[in-house]
Amino acid sequence: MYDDETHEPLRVLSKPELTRRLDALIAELGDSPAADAQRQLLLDLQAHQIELEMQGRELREAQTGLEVSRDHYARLFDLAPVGFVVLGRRGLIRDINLSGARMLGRPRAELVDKPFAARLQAGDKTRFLRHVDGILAGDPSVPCNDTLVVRGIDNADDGDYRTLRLLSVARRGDQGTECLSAMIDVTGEARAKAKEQRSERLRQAVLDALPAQIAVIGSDGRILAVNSAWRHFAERNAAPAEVRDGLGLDYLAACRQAKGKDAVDARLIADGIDAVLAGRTAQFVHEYPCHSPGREHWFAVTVAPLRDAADGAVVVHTDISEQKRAERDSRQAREAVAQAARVNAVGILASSLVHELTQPLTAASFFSSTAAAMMAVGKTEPAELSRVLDGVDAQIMRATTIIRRLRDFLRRREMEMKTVEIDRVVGEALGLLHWFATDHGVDIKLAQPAPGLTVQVDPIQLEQVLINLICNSIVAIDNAHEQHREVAVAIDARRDQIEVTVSDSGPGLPAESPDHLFNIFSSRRDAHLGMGLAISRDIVEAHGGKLWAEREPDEGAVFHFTLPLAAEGASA
Amino acid sequence: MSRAATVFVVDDDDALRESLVLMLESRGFQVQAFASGQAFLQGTTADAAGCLVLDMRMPEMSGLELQEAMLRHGYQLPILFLSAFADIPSTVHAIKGGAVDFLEKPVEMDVLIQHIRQALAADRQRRRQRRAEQQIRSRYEQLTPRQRDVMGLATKGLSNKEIAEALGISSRTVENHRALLMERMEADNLAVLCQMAALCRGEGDRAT
Repeated sequence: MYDDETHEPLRVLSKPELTRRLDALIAELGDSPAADAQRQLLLDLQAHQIELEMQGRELREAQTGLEVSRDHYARLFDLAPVGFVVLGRRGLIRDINLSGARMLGRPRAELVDKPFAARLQAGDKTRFLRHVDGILAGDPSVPCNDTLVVRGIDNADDGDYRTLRLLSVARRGDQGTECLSAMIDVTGEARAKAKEQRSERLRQAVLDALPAQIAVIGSDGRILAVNSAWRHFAERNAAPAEVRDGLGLDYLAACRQAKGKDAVDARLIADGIDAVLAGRTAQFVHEYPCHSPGREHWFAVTVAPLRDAADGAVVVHTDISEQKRAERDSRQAREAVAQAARVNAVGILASSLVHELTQPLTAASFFSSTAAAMMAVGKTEPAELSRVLDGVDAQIMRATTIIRRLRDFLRRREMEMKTVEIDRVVGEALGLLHWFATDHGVDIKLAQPAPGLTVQVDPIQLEQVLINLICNSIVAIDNAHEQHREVAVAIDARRDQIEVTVSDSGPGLPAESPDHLFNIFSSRRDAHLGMGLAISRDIVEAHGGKLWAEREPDEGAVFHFTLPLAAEGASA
Repeated sequence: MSRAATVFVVDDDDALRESLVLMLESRGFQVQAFASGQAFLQGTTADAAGCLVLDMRMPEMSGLELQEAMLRHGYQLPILFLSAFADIPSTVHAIKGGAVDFLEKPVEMDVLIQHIRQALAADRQRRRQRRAEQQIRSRYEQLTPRQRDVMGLATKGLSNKEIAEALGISSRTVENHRALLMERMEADNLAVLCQMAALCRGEGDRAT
């Protein structure tokens, strides 16, 4: 049995078979008599042979495992997303993994034993060498674990540049100290950063190109950026350096602490910025004067939130002087035309006004003549005389009121907004029209008095509108020889405005479009009416209201106009 | 003079009316004032004596409208118009209506007083004239029909003889009638009698 078995080579046997044989040999060795030394030696040798075979097998298996493991790590080294490079003196590449080679844009074979710096942009070579040498020399001023951005590695594929970050450590290798560096591709990051910088520069260039003065402020009210118009303006106005550059200045606090003639506006602006930053309002706009010696200037400040109020806000100061001057010119032109129209209106009312003025003057002369006659006959009782003289006084006051009313109406003046009771203005207008209406046999009815209702208007201009409308109605009624002769003025309070309606019992407006009436260049015979209406509409619109003629009213002509109500609580 | 001459004032302007009344009263005039034409018509009769100071421009009834109403009602008061402006159409209209005077406000006191005096004098004169006419007419009423016939023919310029022929009576009888009627009519001569005849004829015409 043993002989049979010896003919089989051990290396073809399976591991359990080898174990079985070894166990059999050891058992046989135990059973064999001690005297049979030769036999025992043979068995021992055979057992040893089997053991050697088993150990040989284990060694081979271990070697295979190690080889697999080595290959595995080599692949890991080569294919890791991080590039690894081992550098010697002067930055000579001793080894590099595949990822590293790919980052440098060359096959690994072309890189090994070549200087790393050859792949760098000229400007970065010195910095790279200093880094590597510092690591190798253990230079304490160069941290072993250094982060270095190396820009401009030529990539053969696309001719573009890559940005790599090197993290290096010194280690002892079989050829002495070497520098092991991990290479991380930060090209995307660098490009994004460069792009951001470009866009930042672009943004600043755009800001600088704008003529308005612009500051960007953070949610804390501090200035984050200003444009050159802002700086120039600050320089022109000899502002302190911190305001000129602006960066970091607490603009909100600066506005709040402003002194002198600008303080009121500055405080308003501060409140506006506050409101925008707090998200209470989507936009804040305020106009303010900023006159320099010899020239008038106006600015408009606009405050708008950045994407979100929490991010801060943009403050823009725009020079609106030209616009203001143009507005003023056109306002003055309008006022001149309105003035001419008022003179014209007084011309139409003249004979009635003369009569009205004559009444108190005549009465006064009668009273004073009475007093003279009483004195002449010795009737000098103080009570009697003072009653007569009071009469003189009252009549002169009456005449004075008429003259004052007329003078107010005719005075050349700038538009002046006041908070007044609408009834008062209507009363003044009717005062001037009273005799004109009487002379033409026309009744004026104030249909709905509105006690206490206040409007923010230029009272004289509003009076002019009323006089114009009512006067037109009276003339129309008279020209048409109407039987029913009445003009009604009604005042209605709406939510935030009042509507005044002037209606008459006249023949009504011509059938053509009512808008034609307002044409100042109308060639119609009653063009003066169009002129008056055009001016009236102009005046009402300058007050923020509207004036229109009713289409197809039941009777006569009906005009409406609206005016915004004065703010609650304000009074003349 | 049965009735005192009154200055009537019609003006809607309270102050003007009151001051005018005071002024006229202080000068010794008897004054009666009204605030409107209607009030005047209600407060007076057509035979009112004196004059009327009337404001041209008034609401409701204007001065000219009151003048027309007064003519309709037989008023013969002279009217002194007061106006702020003497506009021509009104003036012409007023004169056609028989207005005696026209003044512009403001008026000088002396001028106003003078014109009022003139108006009162004219009214006095007119009423004296009227009274005389009434007397003549009442005397005429008292003549016999024959005497009226003789008077009519005599004042046409016929001689006694011609009258006698026309009436078929004797010249002598005509003479008697003539002397008697001259006495009754209180006419001193034929010329005066002629004036009286014209007045009475006119009255007769109006009556028919």
